[in-house]
Amino acid sequence: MSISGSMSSALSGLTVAAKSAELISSNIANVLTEGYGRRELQTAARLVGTTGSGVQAFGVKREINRTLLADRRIADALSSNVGRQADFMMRLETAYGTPGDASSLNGRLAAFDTALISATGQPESSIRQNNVLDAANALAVSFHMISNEIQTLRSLADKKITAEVDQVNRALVSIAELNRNITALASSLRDSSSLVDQRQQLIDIVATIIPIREAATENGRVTLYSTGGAVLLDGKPAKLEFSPVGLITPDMTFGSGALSGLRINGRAINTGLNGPIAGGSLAAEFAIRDDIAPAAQADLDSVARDLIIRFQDPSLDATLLATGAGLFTDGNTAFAVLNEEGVASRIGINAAVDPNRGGAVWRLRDGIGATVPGAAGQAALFVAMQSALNDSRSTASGQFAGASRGALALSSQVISSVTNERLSLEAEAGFSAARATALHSLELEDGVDTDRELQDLLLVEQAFAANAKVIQTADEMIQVLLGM
Amino acid sequence: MTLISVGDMAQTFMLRRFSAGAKQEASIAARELTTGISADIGKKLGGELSRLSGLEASLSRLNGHRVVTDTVSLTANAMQSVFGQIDSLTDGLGTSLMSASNMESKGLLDGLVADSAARFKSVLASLNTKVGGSSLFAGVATDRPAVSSPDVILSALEAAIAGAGAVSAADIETAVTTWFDDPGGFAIVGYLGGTASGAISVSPEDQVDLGITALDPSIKATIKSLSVVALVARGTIVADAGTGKELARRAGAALLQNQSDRTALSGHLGYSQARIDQAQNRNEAERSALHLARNHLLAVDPYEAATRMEAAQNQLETLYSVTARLSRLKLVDFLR
Repeated sequence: MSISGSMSSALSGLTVAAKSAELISSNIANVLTEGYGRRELQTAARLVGTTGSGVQAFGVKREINRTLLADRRIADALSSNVGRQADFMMRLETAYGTPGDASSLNGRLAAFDTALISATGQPESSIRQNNVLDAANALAVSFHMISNEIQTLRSLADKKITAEVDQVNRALVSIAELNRNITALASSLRDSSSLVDQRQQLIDIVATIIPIREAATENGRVTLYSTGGAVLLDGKPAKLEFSPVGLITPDMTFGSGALSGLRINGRAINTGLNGPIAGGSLAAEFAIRDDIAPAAQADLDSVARDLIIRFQDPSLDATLLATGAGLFTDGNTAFAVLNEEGVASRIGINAAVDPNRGGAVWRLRDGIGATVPGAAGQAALFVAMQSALNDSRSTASGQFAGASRGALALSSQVISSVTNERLSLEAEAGFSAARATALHSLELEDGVDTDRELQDLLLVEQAFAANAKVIQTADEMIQVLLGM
Repeated sequence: MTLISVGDMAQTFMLRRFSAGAKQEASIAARELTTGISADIGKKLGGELSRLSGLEASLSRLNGHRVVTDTVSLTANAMQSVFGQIDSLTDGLGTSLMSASNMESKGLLDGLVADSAARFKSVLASLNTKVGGSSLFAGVATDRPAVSSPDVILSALEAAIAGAGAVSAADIETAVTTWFDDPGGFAIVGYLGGTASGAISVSPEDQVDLGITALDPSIKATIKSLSVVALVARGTIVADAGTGKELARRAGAALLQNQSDRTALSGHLGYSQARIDQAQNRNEAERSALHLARNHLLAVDPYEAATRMEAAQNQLETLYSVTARLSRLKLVDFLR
């Protein structure tokens, strides 16, 4: 053991202290960075020959809890999946409106009912007849608005799928690139922590869209699989393909081939509940576009069909032809069972009663097919229409087919089912969000703690001072020797 | 999780989450407190909106019935007042005609006959009364008058009598009766309206039928009796004073008799009026009951909402002071 030996040991102590201070400052600087893994210098006693001589830093450890991270990613994916569906239901419910709200579908139906009742008291009054026409028009518009909203939400889902597929593709390419860089750094034994941070952030982006499992392989590389079993990154990034369409109408479905499915590396995959991408926000958008929204449209169509059929009955209005359109039409023509799909988006008022389209409003009183005005005070058709609206009739289509009810009761059923669905999805979304939040909170607890960093800094400061003191003392000892 | 350190972000995250939750709670409570209605109606009703929707539809329907009862009650009152008018026009005329025809004084009878002819015109005019632009006794043809002008009716009668070759008072009366009962007679020439209007709903359960037209037998009988006197006044078909006197006597007797028929008709109308009144009252009562029921479905207990608001407020205040304290608890503040 020589004096120069102690000098060299003290010098190694100073170097390690400086490195530690650097890491601590980096940790504190990133105290607010999401996805930053706390760094710690790993040190060991240095050996020269068989004797210890000073200290050496052999690496930087990035602290991360992999199990927690994986759980949090799955929870995030589920939360965004359910959250998107709950959002859809919420918007659908808003489109239908709360019964009692005059602008809701039920409110419009009730207003039409009221206008018919008022008209029975004064059939000769053109004001009353116009009230009926206006109420019927507003009712048709209400159907259009809800139908539009459903199709808009489908188009929106299609756009989101495009955006998310794009996001995943970009992220996968970048992750593959980072993988290569990390491997290069790791094989030359250099610190790759900041690249790992970046990669983790990118994987997080993919993980909310498609739930994934991350498998670490040699030299710090990762392989990514979706929890449904699709390989997203194994050396080379997978390529997701999707072709968006502009505007979606009720007749366009995935089944009819009008809408695109998803392909991974050129192979078409199942986007449904048991498919490889199930559980994330991407699967939710596919579900909205292909299942939930079309089902909502079918329910709305069944209400529109029921309404049209009630007024397309020659026994209600003797002037109607057996195959002619009634007061409500399917795009200006009579309703045919084969055309039920999307009828809510086309429902209209017969031009024969609309003065703006060459009709006359008195036909509401005298019959759609009447050629000349009848007796001014004849209320019979208004009375018949009012009871046709409220008669209990067997619902012909949709999920409520079979049972008998009036037009208003049918639309209440549909609105109730939407509300019910919204409530249960909302409860589920609340639960999964709470779980994701709890896991996120646990993950953050592993993050940078400034108190701890400062405590470490105090220790580093002391170690630095002590090592410096050792050098000073050794120097004095050498001076004594030289002065002799 | 390492037990010796807790990340700074974890604390911020937790505080942020709590404050967002408490704020949302407070805003819901505040909204419910001010509106008195549940902020999430679907949730309050457990997703079953059929009852609410039924209530709202009934309330809306009652609005329609209010319009109908107002109109119908106006029509019924106007009809009743026309009956009153006809009554006052014919009141005592029958007796006067009968007694005058028994007297020798020709002047008195002539005066009375002339007066009756004028009343005939007034009765026809009152049957053509319009309320709010719609004819009362023309059935469904509310845009037309109920009966033609007196001259048209009298000329048609004269032609019918001439056609039948009736000369004696009894024959003339028979000819007149035949013309009034003939579907091609009064029903075409005299009556201008349509078929009687049907029953109208005045409440969800109740209907009234105001289908009284000028073709109603008791009204038609009054017109017939008066028209006979008017024919006497015109004088064209009356061969001599005796026939005129006899016709006036017969018309007087008939008038006396059908007065009671008219009273019965007006009584019927009175029943309808009472039913309309009852329906109006019942509708109003039902409306209040439905409003109550709806509020019961949707309302939130204001005390409960206020308590929740108070609780959320306390929670937020506590959270703020905790946040302030925690942010001061940093080692860096004590290192000098």
